[in-house]
Amino acid sequence: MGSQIDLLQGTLDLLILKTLALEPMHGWGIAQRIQQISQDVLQVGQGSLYPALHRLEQRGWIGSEWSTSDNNRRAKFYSLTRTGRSQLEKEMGEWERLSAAIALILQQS
Amino acid sequence: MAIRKLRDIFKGRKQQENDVNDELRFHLEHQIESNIAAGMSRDEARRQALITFGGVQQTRESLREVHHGRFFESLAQDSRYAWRMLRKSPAFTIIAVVTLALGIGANTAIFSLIDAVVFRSLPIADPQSLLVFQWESHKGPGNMSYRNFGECDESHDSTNARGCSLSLPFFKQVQAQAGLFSRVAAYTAIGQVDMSGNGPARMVKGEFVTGDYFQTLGVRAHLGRLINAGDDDASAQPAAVLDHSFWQTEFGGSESAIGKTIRLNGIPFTIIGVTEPRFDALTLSNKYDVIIPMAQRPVVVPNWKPRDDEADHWWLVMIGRLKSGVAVNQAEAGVSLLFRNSVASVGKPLFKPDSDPKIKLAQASQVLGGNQKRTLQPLYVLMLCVGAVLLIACANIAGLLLARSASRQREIAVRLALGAKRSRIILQVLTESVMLAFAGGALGMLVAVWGSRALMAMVSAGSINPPIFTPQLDWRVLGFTAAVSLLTGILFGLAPALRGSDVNLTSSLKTVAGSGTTVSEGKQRRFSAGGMLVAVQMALAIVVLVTAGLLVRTLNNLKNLDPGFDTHNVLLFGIDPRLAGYKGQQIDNLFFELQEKFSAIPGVTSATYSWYPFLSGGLWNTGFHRPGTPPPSKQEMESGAAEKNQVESDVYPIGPKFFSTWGIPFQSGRDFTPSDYAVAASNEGDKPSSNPTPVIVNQEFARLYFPGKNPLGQIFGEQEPTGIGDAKAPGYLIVGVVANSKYNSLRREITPCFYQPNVGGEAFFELRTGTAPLSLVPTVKNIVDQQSHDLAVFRISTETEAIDRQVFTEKMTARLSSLFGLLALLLACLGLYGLLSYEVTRRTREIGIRMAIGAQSHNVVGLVLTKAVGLIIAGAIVGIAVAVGVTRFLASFLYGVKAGDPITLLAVAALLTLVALAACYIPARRATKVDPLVALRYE
Repeated sequence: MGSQIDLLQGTLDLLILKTLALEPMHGWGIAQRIQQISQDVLQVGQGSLYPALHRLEQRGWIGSEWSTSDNNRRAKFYSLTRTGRSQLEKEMGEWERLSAAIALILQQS
Repeated sequence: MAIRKLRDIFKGRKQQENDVNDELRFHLEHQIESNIAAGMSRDEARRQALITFGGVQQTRESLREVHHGRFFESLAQDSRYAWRMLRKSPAFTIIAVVTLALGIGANTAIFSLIDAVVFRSLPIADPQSLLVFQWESHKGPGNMSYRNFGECDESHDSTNARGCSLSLPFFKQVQAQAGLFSRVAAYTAIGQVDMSGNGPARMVKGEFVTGDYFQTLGVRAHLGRLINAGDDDASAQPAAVLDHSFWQTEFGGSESAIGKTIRLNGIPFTIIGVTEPRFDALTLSNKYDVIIPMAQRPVVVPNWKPRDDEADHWWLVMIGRLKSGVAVNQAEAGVSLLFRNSVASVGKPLFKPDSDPKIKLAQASQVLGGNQKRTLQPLYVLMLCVGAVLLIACANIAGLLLARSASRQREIAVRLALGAKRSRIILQVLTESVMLAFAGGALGMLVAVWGSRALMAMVSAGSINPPIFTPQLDWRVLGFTAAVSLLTGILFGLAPALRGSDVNLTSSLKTVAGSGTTVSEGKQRRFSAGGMLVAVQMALAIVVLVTAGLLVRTLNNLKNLDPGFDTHNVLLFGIDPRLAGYKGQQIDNLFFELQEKFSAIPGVTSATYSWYPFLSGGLWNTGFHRPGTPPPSKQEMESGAAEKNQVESDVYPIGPKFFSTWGIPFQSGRDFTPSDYAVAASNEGDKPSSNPTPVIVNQEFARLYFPGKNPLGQIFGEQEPTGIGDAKAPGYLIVGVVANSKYNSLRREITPCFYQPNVGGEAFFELRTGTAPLSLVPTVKNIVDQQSHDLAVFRISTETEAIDRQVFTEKMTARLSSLFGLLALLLACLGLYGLLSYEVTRRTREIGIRMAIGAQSHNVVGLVLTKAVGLIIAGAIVGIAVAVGVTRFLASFLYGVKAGDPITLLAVAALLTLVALAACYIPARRATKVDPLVALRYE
């Protein structure tokens, strides 16, 4: 397990939206997926994950539905809504501009 | 999305908590399973999962925040918070709620009463289309007989006269004229009617109506049938209709009343029906018990003369409904033409030239207010006072909230710095004031219910004909109250809320650690706002106090007024022998006899009678050519040239010993003798004798009409015959002069008056007693009953009561406005006290430093007082200016004092300053008690 990095404020939202863009998923699944894809660099604790999920749901960017999970238990599945999809595109664009700008500064020295 | 949110909100707290728990448990279990899959034992897996998972409770809290962090959660939280804050300062809360309740309640009570009268809907079918015939002219009619009985708002001003009494011939002409009206009817009051045949004889209120009356109104019978055109015929069987509530009380609501025979003034009438319950009266103060056809007037009215039905005798009220398609102005033009023809047919000028008399067809609901509109005037004054008190209460609470929000400024600054939204803080402060307002409003509703009953009693106790309605707090009034209380809450809550949130962060936070002399920008502005609120309260208090002061002075002026006669220990009661069948000379003989018997009662010093007692409302005046000028000729009368020599005088018909009984001194001449009554009686009829009627005049009469001459033996008011029905009138011979006295009203100025012998009519007896007047009532009734079983005594009272009735409204308005004035003063001073106390607390350190470097007590007191005096002066100046403007509307209530009365203004300003300075005393004293050492160590 490599060293972990704290998520920047706001980036968790982006990661959740991106993860849900593939398929509807329950909370634990989202956390696992982020951890796997980032090769254990990014670990999302439930203490920040669920408030973020509920906040995104309040904003209408993701929707939720109770259904049975693969191990046959009742779980809450989140999915991306239409407004969430456009929000994701917007935030991805912003992220790219931000990281490019940071990269430019860091490369200079 | 919006639906999802709504669903979230309404899903219920419980359900949502469960969902969250399920979701978190699912996550935890997944974690455990994946740990087991990674090779841990079950216990270890669970332990590790819990460690990774972190604080469950914390997550739950933050999730709850996400869900309810909006409106509802914060509302509940704010309410709890506000409740705690209000409970922490019970004195403030109680004062605020009680003043609000008083203000709102009193306003609502007064509003409902005004509403019940002003916006009353007539209890008839289609009230909007019922019209009343109202005459209008630049100058009122004269040279005629005019009787109104309070049905509508009359004005006999010299500029804009109008009234509702018209003549029978005019009514018949309008009735005969087809084309304009679908129905026309007329009615008139009979006055007191002696009703017998249903238990012992008693006086009831009767009304004559034409055959179309009930059909025109669209009023139906509750029982039997109502009067129709067939009944309104002199040859028809006399028929009577009973008022519903009268039938309930007098006939026990029994159906057997129909067909029963009652005697009205001795004439048998058959009861044919009862009106429907909702029809109480057209004019609130004029409710009639028995309604009979107009055609019965000649037999029912005592002393009815054919002349009463001529065109110069105006006594009936006309109502009608237009034919469909007829415009109001078209109908007005038509009936105005008939009206002018009718007036011209009299043969003598009723109107002065250029008076332009015409008929206006007014909406019944607007005209048939009677004297109720006048009864309401004092209510408007009270409403003004109460309104001002309510405003003061609001300003006061605003000030208190402001001071509180100021003391919480640092807390608010910290919260703002930590990222709280401004709207959130405003909402919280608002919640507190809205809660206060709701509590005040709810309590105010109770005050209103109680208050409207009290006001009702107040209004009706002052009048002889009490209004019959019961004011109810209807939905509109409730809505009004709710709106007032809510608006109040928002208004007085918003200002401090905005101020409280408008905090300069850096300076507020700096004062925490900064030097005590730093006065932040926010604080400076806050003080001017608080000061302004106090000054506004002072100004409003002055307005209420000045109003109260003027009304109190009016009451005192009226009470201390010398009416010109001795008002104490006089028993009054009326007797109308005509109703018991007495006629002409019999009446006078009866009165002489009764007078002697009453005089002989032990405890009675002297007894007399007159057509009406002093100060009881009755007033009679007449016009005649100026004494010393020749009586006008018939031509002069018809051309109106006689007008310029016309003068007026009050007339007062009296019995023997009137002046000695009342204690009015003779200036010269003598009292009436029995032979004077004989002469007066001989001049009563249509064919007067050649002897002038002996009269006694008051000083004012002598001064105005016989300046520099001895009035004794002079003759005035003689008249040449003018044609139809008028014989040569012998006029009046002056046999005595008495001191001036008031007549019907304390407020009315002394006018010329002549007293003439009272002959051939009803009369009120006046007994001067050595004991309590009312204790003699049984003896009096006994004597009257022994004289004749048909005689009834009515309207028993004392002169003191009569005067009390006259000044009742003044007394109540003076008392209530004084009460409100004191309340206003108290509240305003409370506001000042609060502001100063707060300031002393705030400046404790500054005062300490000043004292440490040698300031004396009086310097410190000066420091506090300067501020207070500035506020008081500013408030007083504005208040006096407003009071001068506002009290001009009181002019018609005032007596012996003018609206902008400087003495009242000065007295009120002085009172306010004194009380306000007293309110400053405690904070100022506390300031001098500041211990420099403690103060400097402070904080």
